[in-house]
This record gives sequence, C-alpha cells and structure tokens, in this order.
Amino acid sequence: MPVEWIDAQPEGHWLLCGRVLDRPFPETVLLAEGGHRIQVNGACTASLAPGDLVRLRAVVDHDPADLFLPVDRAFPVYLAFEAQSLHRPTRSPFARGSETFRFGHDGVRNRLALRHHASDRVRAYFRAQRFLEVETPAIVTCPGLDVHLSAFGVLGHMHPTPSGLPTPYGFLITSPELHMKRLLVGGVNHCFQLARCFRAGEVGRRHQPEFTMVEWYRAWAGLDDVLADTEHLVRAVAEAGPTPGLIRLGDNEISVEEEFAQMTVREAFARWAPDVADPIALAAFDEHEYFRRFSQDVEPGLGFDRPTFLTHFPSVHASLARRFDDDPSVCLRAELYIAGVELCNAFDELTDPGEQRARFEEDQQRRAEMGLPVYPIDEDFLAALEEGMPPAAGNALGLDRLVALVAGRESINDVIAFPHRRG
Amino acid sequence: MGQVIDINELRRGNKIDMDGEPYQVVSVDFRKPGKGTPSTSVKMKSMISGNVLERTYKSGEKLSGADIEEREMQYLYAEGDQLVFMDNGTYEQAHVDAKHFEERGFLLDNAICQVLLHNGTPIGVTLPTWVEMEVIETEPGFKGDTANNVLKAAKCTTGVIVQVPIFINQGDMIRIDTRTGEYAERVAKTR
Repeated sequence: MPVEWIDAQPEGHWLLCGRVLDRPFPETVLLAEGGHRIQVNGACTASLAPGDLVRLRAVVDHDPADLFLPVDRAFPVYLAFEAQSLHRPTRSPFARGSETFRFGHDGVRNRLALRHHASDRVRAYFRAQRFLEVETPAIVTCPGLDVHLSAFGVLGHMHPTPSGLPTPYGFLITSPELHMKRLLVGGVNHCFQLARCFRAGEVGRRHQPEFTMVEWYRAWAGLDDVLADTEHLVRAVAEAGPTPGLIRLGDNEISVEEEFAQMTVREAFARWAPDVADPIALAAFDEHEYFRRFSQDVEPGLGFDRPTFLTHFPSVHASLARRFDDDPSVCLRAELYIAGVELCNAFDELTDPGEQRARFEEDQQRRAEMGLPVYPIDEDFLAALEEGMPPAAGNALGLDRLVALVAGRESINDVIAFPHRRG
Repeated sequence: MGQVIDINELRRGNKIDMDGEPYQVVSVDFRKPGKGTPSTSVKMKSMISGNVLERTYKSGEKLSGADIEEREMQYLYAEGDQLVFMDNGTYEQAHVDAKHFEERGFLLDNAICQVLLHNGTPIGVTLPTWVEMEVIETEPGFKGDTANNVLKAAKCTTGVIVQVPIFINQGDMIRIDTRTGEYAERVAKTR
C-alpha cells in the first residue's frame, strides 16, 4: 500500500502523510506520498493548500476497481475526517530548481532507487564469488601520480598555524588502487569495494569531481578473468533497469546478453581513424593528437553493436598495467565501451617493483615538466611489491556511468542525488 | 570588451565573442578518455543568426566574453515587425525585431523583460520566467477526474495554446513557465 500504516490507528483507519500536490476541488486534495499520488476527499481538507506537508486520518472510501479507472490511473480514494497541516511552505516546492521538484517530477527518485539496486547486485555478485568487501583510506599522503589526474588537498586541524593557515594534511584518493594491491600482498586474494573517488577539475556529462568506483582485484588470475567479472556485473545491473537485458541510450539499443566483443586499439583506429598509420607510435610521439583523434573519431563509434572491450593499449599509457612480453609497445589493459561510454579500466597488474619505481619516477618528471604538483612516491606500496605481489588482475568500473546507461540517461548527473555543477 | 573566460570556467548560457559575433553557449562537454588528456567541446549558437558552431578546446585555453548588456525594459506595443520596449529609468526606447521571438504568445502588454544589447544594439529579449494568464477556452473538467498526468489543450488570453491538467476550467488563472511553455500551477484569481 502506498501509505504508512500506524498500528495505533483504529481498525480500518489510515494515517496518510505527505505533501499536497493540488486541490482541484474545494474538498479534494491530491497527495504525494512516497512516490505515489493519492486522492483524498473530505470537508476537513478545505483548508489545505498546495505545497502543505500534511497528516490526515482517513478511511478507504472506494477501491479503484469500483470506479473502472484505467490501470495506470488506478489508486484508492480516501475519505478524510481529520486533517492537519504541519508546514505551509514559504517558498514554492513546485518551482523548477526546488528539491521537491527535482526528486518528485524529474524521475530522479526512481533513478536513485536504481542506484540502490545496482550496488546491491554488485555486492551480491562479489559475495557469490567469495570476494571480501574492504574499505581503504580516502585520505592519503601519496595520491596517484597519473599526469592527467589532479587530487584534492585536505587540510588538517583548522586551528591556524603561526602562518595563519591550517596545515595541509594529505590528499583525497583519485583511486583506491595502491591500497587494494597491498591487500593482495597481505594474502587477501579476492577483494572489492565501492569506493568514493575524487578528481579535481572534472565536471561534465560523464565526469564528477566525486564519483563511485567499483574496484576489484583477483590474485592468481589474469585480465580475462576480470573481464568476465565485468560482463556478469553489467548484466546483473542491467537486469535491475527499465529494459532488462538491454541498454537503451537515445536511439541505440545494445543487448548485454551475448558475449562482449574485443577489439585492439590498433583495430579500432584502423576502423574509425584509418589515416592514422600507427596509433601506438602516435601515442608515444604526440600524445595530444592521439587523444584528440581517440575522443573525436574512435570513442564515439565503440560499443554500439555490442559491448566492446578495447585492448592492447599503448605502453606509454600502461600506468600500472603489465606490458606484453612479445610486444612491449602495448600493454595488458582493457576498457569496456557501451554506446561510446567508457565504463571501466582493467589491468593485468604490474608486479615488478623495479619497473614500477621507474614508471613513478617518469610520471614525477613529467609532472614537473608540465608545472603540475609533484606528489611523493608511495614507498609503502613499492615496499609491498618488493615483498611479492602475486600475479593479479584488477578492474575499476564507474558505477555512476553504468547506472546512467542502464537508466538510459546521457549524463551521470541524472543518477546522482546532488551532482556538482560547473563553475 | 568582454572579460576573458577560461575554458574550465565556461558554462552553458555564457556569452562569448567569436570573430565579433556574439554566441551563447548551448552545451559544454568535458571529455577525458581513460588516462588521457582532457578536452572541452563547446556547442554555441549565434545570438544573431542562430547558427550553431561546435569547437573543441584544450584545457587552459581562453575565450573572450561578449559585450552583452542586459537591460530591464517594459514592453509597450508592436509597430509593424518591430516591438517597442522602454527603459523605465531613462525613458530610452529600443526597437526589437520581431524575428527574435519564437513565441510571442507569452509576451504580455507592459511585461518587464530583459532586453539584450550587443555593443548597444538590441539582439534579443528574455521574457519573465513566469507569466500568469487566464484560460479563455478549454474542455470542461470533471469532478473526480484528477489524474495529474492527463493533459488537455487550453487557449489563453493571448491566443497561445498550453497543455494543462484536466481539472483546469475556463476562467482559471494559470502560471506558465515561458522557458518551456509548460503549465506550472493554477493560481488564485486576481480579478
């Protein structure tokens, strides 16, 4: 039933609580209650005004079946004999820009429910696979060194120091990667978390400065294993959506039921940017041009026939992924695309402490050249690699993007209760 | 001259100068492939010709804001294809070409509007967000027929037709959002 039932009510009586949407007739109000719309009649409702938060004592007057109303308009009609307005708004809750408007009229509430079901299904999948759900620090001293990520700084005690400013304390994580890999070294072989990650300066249809990452690692496993996990997760979340088994974005419909496709970066450029003779060489030689062509020509074509894993990325963008032994110009990294939307980034993890240190130092040097803050190298992480990290694969999947796709929305802002805005 | 806008600060609705023509930003799309460099593609519409342009910028690029003045003026009357507005402070008048209006049905006599001037020349008018008008013609509503998502057409004072909930009757005053042309709510009658 769309109403809250209080035991103390005499039998047959209902306590209706909600907001008055409209008063179409002097003794009739339309009430919004928990996403439902109900009609209440009764002389006592005459003093209520649209927008009021109200409490009504009522009985079911008639059942929709008695009225022969079409199903989509069927709701019981109540007869109220006592009405109380708890709050009369001093500003309109129905104006655009109001929270009531946003959650009540734009379908945001339904999409927040979809989010809830999505994280439920993600957890259910990993529990069934015997993963441990973990939590790792959100405030760190060494945020990722990736040259194209920018971390938020965190201030310590707000008591001013002699300089008049609070002391810097650390940074918010851009990804929980390094800590989760340390868990692998410690013998936690299968772990996952739904981590809030923070990246400064990223606001757009598919970017938010804080967002939720589903991140997981499998020790003694390879890239294919985490890509298989990804397929299961996407299917499980799509089942909770309005079009089970299907992702519908604009005019595109993509089934997630069949096996996902795979395509290498070279193959993708050959198909959508054939004038680029060697994308792997281009990435090393002119990174900006590579990403320009990638964003403009390749990405908008990916994942429309069926979900597609892009593989064999240039090693200059290997980050923390292993390079192929037989072709070190490319690495064991994969991204999933559905309808041109990048959903995840998977690595066959680099476990060699020497190579990892060299890559960190190179990133530091590039950051210095670009005039970016140079964060320290995470020595605890490197020490863990020296102790020995088992061969492993991991993946990081943007939950907001997946939920937005399943909801058929272009922008992740539509599935976030309070998104950050530009400017 | 307008001020300089950093591409990272650019928002929808900003007005920028492209080769001396004022453009309004329609959408700003921040893009960033995994482990890649960010770029921002901007869709903008000429405030004069209505032409749409799309450009992609790297982070850190700068655009120049258009010299647009928005002045509060009252609508007086129509004179051929020109609509005459007056600044109630200075009594200065501005003639605005009617082609700048897609929908004149929401422009009420004496309405206080925002007139846009580019380097002093009127190029557009922003209507008040909310207008209240009387419904002069619509099918009658039925008591009990209160499902809010069923709409019907209603003709208002200026002749404009708006979709309203089924319980709205002839003679009701309704509030309309001029940005979308949608019914917002029923208001108490003032006359």
